[in-house]
Amino acid sequence: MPLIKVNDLVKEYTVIKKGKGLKGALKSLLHKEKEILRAVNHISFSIQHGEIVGYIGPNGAGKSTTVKMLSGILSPTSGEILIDGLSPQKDRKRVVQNLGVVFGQRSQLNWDLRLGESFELLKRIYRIDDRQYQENLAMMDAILEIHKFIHTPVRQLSLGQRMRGDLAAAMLHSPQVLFLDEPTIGLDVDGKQAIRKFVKEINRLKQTTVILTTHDLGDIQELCSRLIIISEGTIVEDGSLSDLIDRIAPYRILHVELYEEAELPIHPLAEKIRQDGTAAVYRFDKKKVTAAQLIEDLSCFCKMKDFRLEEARIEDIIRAAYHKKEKLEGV
Amino acid sequence: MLKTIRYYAGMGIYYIKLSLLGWMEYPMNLAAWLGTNLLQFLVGFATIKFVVQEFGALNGWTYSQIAFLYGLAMLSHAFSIILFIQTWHIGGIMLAGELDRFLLRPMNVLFQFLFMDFNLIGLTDLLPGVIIFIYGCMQVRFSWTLYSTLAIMAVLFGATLIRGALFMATGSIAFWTKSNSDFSGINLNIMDRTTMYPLTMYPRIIQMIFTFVLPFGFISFFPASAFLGMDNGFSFPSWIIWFTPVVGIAVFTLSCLLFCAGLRKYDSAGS
Amino acid sequence: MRPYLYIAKVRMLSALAYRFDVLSSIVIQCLAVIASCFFWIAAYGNQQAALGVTRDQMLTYTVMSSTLACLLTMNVENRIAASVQKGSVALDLLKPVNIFGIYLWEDIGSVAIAFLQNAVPLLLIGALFIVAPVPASAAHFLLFILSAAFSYMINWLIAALFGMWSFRIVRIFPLLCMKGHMIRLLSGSVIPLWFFPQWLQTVLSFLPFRYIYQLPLSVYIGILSPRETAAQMGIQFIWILLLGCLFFEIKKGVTRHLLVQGG
Repeated sequence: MPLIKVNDLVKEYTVIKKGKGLKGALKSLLHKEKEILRAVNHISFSIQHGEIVGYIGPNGAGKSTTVKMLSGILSPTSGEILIDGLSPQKDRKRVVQNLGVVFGQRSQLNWDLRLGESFELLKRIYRIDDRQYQENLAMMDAILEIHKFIHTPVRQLSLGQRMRGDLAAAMLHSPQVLFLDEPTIGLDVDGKQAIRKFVKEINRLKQTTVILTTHDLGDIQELCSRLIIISEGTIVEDGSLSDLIDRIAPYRILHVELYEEAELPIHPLAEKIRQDGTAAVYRFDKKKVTAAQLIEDLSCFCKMKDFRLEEARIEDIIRAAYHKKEKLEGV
Repeated sequence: MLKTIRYYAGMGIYYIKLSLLGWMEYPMNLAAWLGTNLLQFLVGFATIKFVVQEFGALNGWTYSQIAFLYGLAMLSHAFSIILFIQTWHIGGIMLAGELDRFLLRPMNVLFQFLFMDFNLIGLTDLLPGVIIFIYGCMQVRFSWTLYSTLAIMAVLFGATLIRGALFMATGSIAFWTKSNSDFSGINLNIMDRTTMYPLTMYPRIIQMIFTFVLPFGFISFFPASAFLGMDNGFSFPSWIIWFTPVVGIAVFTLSCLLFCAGLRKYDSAGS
Repeated sequence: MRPYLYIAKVRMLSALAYRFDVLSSIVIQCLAVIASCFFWIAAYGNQQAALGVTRDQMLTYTVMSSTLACLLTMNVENRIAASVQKGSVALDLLKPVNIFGIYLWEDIGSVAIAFLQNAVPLLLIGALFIVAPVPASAAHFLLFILSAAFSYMINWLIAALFGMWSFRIVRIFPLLCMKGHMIRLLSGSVIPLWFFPQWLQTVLSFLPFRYIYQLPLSVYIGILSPRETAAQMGIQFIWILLLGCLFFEIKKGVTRHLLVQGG
């Protein structure tokens, strides 16, 4: 049985259209024009125990709405959500006991308290017993090195420290599921690395299922074994990053430079795009032929001085997926 | 069941302890609030002391009787500030996204609202309240019997709930308007005007409103007039005192329902 | 002058934007003034006059006190506090326009808007339900206007001086509340000071507060002799000078302190 099951989820908002200018404002006072906005449009997916899933999409695609519904903050218009067999709306308290949530933009730590005091508070809220609390705290400390600032008031922490504190706070009650909403936003290189290491470690040690929304390509490449891409409220892609690359950008480009001008042949498995004097460009499908094979074949015809391989950029691939393009242009 | 009660009681005490720790970091702030609240009570006290004494009586109420009325009102005011001040800021808490955080915790949301940032500053309201109440009791030579002690406690309990109900009901409006409008000024003003002086000085229609629609008359005026044997404008018998806790529980329940309805509204629309 | 007038205009426009808050502030003020008047009606009972003031004069005093109160609202203390807390104060003080000039003109912009949206309804409600708040004479009215303008300056300077505390104290809010209560109690805005014991009145005549409310309102209802009026308005003016000097001294000190410490 999957840990998280989402079936035909829909979320609609009613927005009141406001007229422009004074005339429009007066008009909308008398007669409110309502408009239904569908933020999430028939989404279904299921997530197994221990997966790390990147839930990505452009701004306004419906990511946070979905996460809010999964965590019981919002009720869906229609459709079904089950987390470990329970509905987060009907069984809110039981579901959230098994949930850790971190919002990159806002902290759950108490501004006026020391970090450790915030942890103590959470220990009581979630009714964590002493042994489990000590164990978890020790584990979090080993990964995140929080002992260095555990006695500092939260308002004095740097963003990176606060974020580490927030992650530890979310995992204190050993939830099976962890939602991370843009966890690396605004962090420096070291900060990002610490967060990623943490996600990998808790996934390895505690088999925590992680769902993260992010705009950071590093997060996607390093963490996510699976990507669910959502655009305009619908899922446009669900699979691993490498599958996505294979499908959307199956080609690689080989730039060849020769010692002296010579006509390069047409290879049966690669397309010659152009040749200007000593420089030539080939495009090939990486599943049909390897770069090494291609170079070997070509070097039978002429003496190569230099070559360079070009891959599609991850950024472009993801952007293509956002726009529901089947293939990436150019490369 | 018992376990749940123990859990919430323990959490309540722990939240109080935390806010105590928080306030100890700013002792000057506490002192400033104490001074401020003392001064505020002085404004009210000067009004009755200098004006009512000059004229001899206010609608038949002597200065001493009004002092008792004022003291009784101020005690429930202080309790309501301690317990319910959080509900003034429902709009702000919602717009800051804090409400989402409450929903993410395995705990009753209303409980979190009331205890999350337990307002110890309200104690600075309690001190002048107690002083004025004791003074008022001495002025009217209040006889402390078992019956009257129980009655005073019941009145304070009910009056605190009536005030809390108003705070919560007006705060819950934010769930629908999605704005940060602050009703505290209007609430405090209305309650000051209806609990510090005899309601009988207002026209009949206003007396009716504050008896049957917004039952603020039960906060201090009806109980005080019963204790002192004064005309309450409706010829209510003296056991009207015991109506205060009943009315308090009723309106507080109503405002809890309103809060829950608002929360469901929030559930379906977000902020 | 130009930029300051523009600031006042922007302030007026943005005040209009908060329609709900505006509406509720009007309702609360009207209800409050009606309630206060019921208090005075009940207090006077069958008496026609008390301490030389008739019931109708007292009601006029009350209505005009609320009207003056909504004209005397200002934001300067909160603006200073916010600027200090955000840490933008050093930048603000070094701007090519005088930051306190901006605050003053913003507040004057607010007065214009408060007159239209708060004072006018208050006067109408007062006239309809309680008593027509007419001044003792045209001359009294003109003197009231002048004296009220002086009041505004005293009140503004006191607010600005309290705002300066934010350089020293992190949580300024209770202090500002305290200032509000102090003015309410000691200025005669809620209860005219003639109800106070004689010794307290003597003490208060050495403080600036009574010149904010009691003086212009007494002028309006015509209970002061021409000589008393002239003498008290003279003192009122001296208070503006005194508070003004104090304000500029402290401002100089604060600016120097900021330039050395860098905010």
